[in-house]
Amino acid sequence: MSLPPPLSSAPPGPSQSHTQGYGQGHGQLPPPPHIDGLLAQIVSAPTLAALNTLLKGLSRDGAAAGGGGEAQLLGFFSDGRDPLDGGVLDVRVHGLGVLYILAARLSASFAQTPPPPWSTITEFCRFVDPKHAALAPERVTRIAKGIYRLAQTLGNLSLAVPPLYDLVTRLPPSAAHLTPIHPVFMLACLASRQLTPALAVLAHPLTDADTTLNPDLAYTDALAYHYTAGVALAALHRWPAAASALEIAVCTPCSGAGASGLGMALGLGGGMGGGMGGGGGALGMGGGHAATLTPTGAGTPAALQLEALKKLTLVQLIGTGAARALPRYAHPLLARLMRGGAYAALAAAYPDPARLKEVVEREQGVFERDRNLGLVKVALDRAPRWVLRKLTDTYATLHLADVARAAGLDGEDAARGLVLGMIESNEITAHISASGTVSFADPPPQYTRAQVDAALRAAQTQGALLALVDQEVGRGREFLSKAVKTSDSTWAPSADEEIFAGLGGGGGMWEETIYS
Amino acid sequence: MEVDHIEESQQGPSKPSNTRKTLIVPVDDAHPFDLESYISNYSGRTAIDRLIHILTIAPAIAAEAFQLCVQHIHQSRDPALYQNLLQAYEQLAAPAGVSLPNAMDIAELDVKWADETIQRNQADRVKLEVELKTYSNNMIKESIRMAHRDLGDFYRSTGDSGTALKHYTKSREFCTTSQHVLEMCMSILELLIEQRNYSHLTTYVFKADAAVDATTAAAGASASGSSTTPAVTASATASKKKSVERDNVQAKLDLATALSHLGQGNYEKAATGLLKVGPAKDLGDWIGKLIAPGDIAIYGTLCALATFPRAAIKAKISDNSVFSAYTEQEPYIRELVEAYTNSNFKTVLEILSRYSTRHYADIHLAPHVRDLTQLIRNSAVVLYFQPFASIKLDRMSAAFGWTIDEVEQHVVSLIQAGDIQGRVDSQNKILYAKKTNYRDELFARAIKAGMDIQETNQKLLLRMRLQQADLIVKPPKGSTHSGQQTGDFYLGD
Repeated sequence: MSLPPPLSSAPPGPSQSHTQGYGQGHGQLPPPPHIDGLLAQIVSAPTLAALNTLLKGLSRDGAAAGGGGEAQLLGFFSDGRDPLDGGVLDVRVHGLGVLYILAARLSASFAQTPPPPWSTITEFCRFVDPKHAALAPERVTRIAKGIYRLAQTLGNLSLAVPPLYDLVTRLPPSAAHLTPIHPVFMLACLASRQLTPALAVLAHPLTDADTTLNPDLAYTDALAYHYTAGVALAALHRWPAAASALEIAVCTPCSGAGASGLGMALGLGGGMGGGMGGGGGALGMGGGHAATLTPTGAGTPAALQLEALKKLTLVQLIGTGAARALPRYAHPLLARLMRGGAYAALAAAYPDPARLKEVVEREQGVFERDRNLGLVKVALDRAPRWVLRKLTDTYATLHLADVARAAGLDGEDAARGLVLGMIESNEITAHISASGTVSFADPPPQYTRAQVDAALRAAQTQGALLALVDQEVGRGREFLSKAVKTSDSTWAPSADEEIFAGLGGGGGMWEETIYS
Repeated sequence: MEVDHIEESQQGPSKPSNTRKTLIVPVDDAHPFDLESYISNYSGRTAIDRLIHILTIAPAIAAEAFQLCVQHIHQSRDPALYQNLLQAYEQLAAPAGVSLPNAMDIAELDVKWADETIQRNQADRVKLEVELKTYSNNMIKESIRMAHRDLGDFYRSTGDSGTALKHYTKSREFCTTSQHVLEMCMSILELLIEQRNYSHLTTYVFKADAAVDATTAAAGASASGSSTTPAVTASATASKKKSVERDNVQAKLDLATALSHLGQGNYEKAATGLLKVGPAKDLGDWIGKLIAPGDIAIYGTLCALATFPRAAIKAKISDNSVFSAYTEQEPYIRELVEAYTNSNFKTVLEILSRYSTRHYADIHLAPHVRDLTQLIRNSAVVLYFQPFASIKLDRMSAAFGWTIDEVEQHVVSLIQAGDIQGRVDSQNKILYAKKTNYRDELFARAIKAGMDIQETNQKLLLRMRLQQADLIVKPPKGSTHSGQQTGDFYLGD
């Protein structure tokens, strides 16, 4: 994990020992020392801050001494008891201590050190004091990833979902904050197909990312979270939400300069594909293959973004019947890469049944390789709906046979099924007469007072939030220095003039009033 | 030289005829077309080009066209054109399976004339090239320019347009006054129009425009300079003469611009341009050499009907005295406009179909006839339906002279294109205008806009935060190393 440069509070140590933690070559290390002494210190630490320094110092000293420092945290009691077992440490009171030990234990090799008991993990996640967790955010991340790894080792990823859910919902200052735990949680949900808890988290759109709270937050976290979220929502057939999540992934900001920026994202994309392959659902999900993006001078988007864009195109076709242009701030290279490709052809042909069939037959290989065949199939299945939707705009009545012909269905019965299905799902308003004539109507959209009120309230909240952000930005150092720099030439003199003019004018007035 | 020469001229006119080979237009009582009176409006190369074009699209009059064409060729200086003509004629005969009289029976090339012309051309060419060489050695700028110009004219008349263009552009370097530049531009414009090279026209129109401005400015300056001394009237007449000249040039430039728009399918701009072309006398020798006044009327009217709203058509065509001078030339155009403004659409369509041969026979208009007709038909349907809340399709079919199925098809495609706000009752064959409840629609739109903006806001907020925190996609620092680890993690070992 390439961490962003740690901020002043975080020592450089953890990331190094962290690297060791993953390593497989722990075999030659001596067995960890007993933890008795350390535990006594944890219990008797005067303040949280002092304890944090102590524990953090452990790993740093350890690293300086050539290993073994953090290994202390892996130790058991001298009588062989597990410090995390049997209620020696109360999570509610000694959260920070448990946190450090858990992080060490969960990132160690499970073959060398027995994994912590699952009950401790769940208890920790459910009850740890967010204040404790906030002191060592990068350790929390390690715990989250460790939980995922442990659950995978145990062969049951769904185990990981509840504790991760607790972490994701309890620790951040608000539901709008992105943390490094988010992508881990979403991946666990997706891989174990437990999407209900994921929905609860997805209900709150993320609008905040703070590296002072989570120094180890990386761009991949935002990217991977929204990508997996998009896939999860697509699996749940929540097309608009899926499109929105994928769009965020596609539009993740790209750096202004850089050469070939794909290594990391490629690994990620490939990893997702592997993970999802195991799930083997109806939807072909995941599947980051090595896209050959030509590096340009103006930064390169991640390969995962391209994958997201492919899925976004499909989801938009399914959800709205047409692919929309990307927002202007999306990386131009992405749109260029899509142009002329299989997905662009599909979008252009949608929802014309004959042309669609041709495109899908021709590009079958591409869709399969991208593992998007599931979504493509859904898009195909829904194409007749969009055709019919268009017909309702054009016709007031139409015979079922005409519907079948236009939508490329075979026979009136299929057309009847389609129309009935769409009436049921409230997509169109129509009735079918005995003779097989479909009459369409478009009742005007009706809104209740409650709906309007809700919309207004939402707008007000949003406005207030924006005003707050505006204020915050307005008094930020960055903005002010820029504003002063740019306004020097144009604004400042005029402001001065105004003041002087005001003074002069005022003075004049005064004199007049006095002397007259 | 001779070989090049033939290839050049084959490439030019035979290319368009290849692409339009399938198109055959009838010439009969329902589609009258009087070839002789049509072609009498043109002279020179354009007449030959037009005849070859007509020959390829209308087998019914091919023999006649062939004969006329040979006559015209004999007046030209380009015997190679005959090869072209013969080729076009044979190409027509082959796939069409129409029994055409043998080309040799209709008219034969005067071999003696051909030999003489080739010889004369050869001699002229040598003479002109020697002249150019001498002038170049003497470095007399004006003479070099004239030599280039003469060579350009020569190659143009012998059909080697590539070399002609080369010499015309070369003469640009030796122009000393803007008048010369203007002359060069006009020659090139003529050549390009002849070549139907529409995309390049605007470049030279632009250059010519600049040259005209420079000329008039210079004239103005000299006029004001001279007015200090005796005659104010003299300068007035001088400037008047200048303005006449300017009008001439302007009319030609307008026409060239309009043709280039037409050629590129910008019908609205073409219509605007054609409707402001000055009177025919301003076009000078272009009338006949390149275009007939009737053509301007046809192009302008068709483009205007296809793209302008009805009020604009009335204002710009019916009440335009300059343009009505052109429409005099083609009386049916007047009928067409009248029928259109009176919403007599059946007549409009009938006239369009009746004179379609005339339109397809035109080399500039032919590629656009279908599109223009389609556009006129569409706007007619839209105009017709405008005042109705609902209308039976059979009434529309009576008004347009179509079958009900045709009407339905047209209406449906127009609805889908968003040109008609309506819905078709395909069982009872009725077209209903869409009734919109504006209040409800307003609510729907407002709420949708609100939701959209909220969503966009949230996305932008996140994006802003990510950028503030420098969480942006960037190449990993340790390149593969750090990437490997993330990969490992997600793979879960």
